[in-house]
Amino acid sequence: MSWHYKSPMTFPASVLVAIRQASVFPNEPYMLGGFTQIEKAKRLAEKIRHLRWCVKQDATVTPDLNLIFNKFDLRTSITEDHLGFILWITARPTKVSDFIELNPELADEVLAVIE
Amino acid sequence: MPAQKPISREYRIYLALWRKAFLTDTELTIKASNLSMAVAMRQGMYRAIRPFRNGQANDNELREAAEKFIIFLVKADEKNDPHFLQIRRRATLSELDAMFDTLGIDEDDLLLSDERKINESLKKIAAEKLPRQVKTPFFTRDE
Repeated sequence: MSWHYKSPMTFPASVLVAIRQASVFPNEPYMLGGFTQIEKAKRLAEKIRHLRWCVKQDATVTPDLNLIFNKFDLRTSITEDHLGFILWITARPTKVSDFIELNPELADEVLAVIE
Repeated sequence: MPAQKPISREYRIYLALWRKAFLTDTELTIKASNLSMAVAMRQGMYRAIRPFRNGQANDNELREAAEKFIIFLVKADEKNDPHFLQIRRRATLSELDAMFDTLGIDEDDLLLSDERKINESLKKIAAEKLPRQVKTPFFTRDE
């Protein structure tokens, strides 16, 4: 299915909040919601991928979200419990952001060469 | 010829680190947040330099850097603790280089048979006398 661009601000507020929240606590799963049907959970996960695509199309619209998507690899996962299905989102730092954050002096030197 | 893939920012950083180690001839230490990140970075560094090491991409500094240095993983006690990667000199190469005189070998002994044949034929060509130039009035320019 092909995606069409829509402003990132028009996505559900719960999704935008969840992404920001997940980025505050990296590597910790953040619960996006509970669903009775797995299809609904999958649809919301697809919405996050669509949001990422839209943010990347024009980074100037939501620079804060673009920064989060650059800095973190956002993964969704679905778990099943006795009530239904739970959708989680986890922000994992990318290798580049990890390198820049933990090796600031070396990163400055290297980035000055490649950029 | 297949089109060359654009190099990602991550790989550019890795190549810059290899080059820095080679140009400054120093051992670099890189900090990673946990074990899996350190392992992934180490694999990425080797993947990034592979085409230069194999001769598919041409960059003498990077090729020599791959020959001279290795990436060593310094493990921490816990998986989730910060781990370190060290770009170290290849110990075997440094030791063998130091043992050149004792072993009684020089740079020529390191050549393979094909390379020796090429070198010999080049020497022969260089040793051959140039054909004597015949001066005729026809080819001289009148001032």
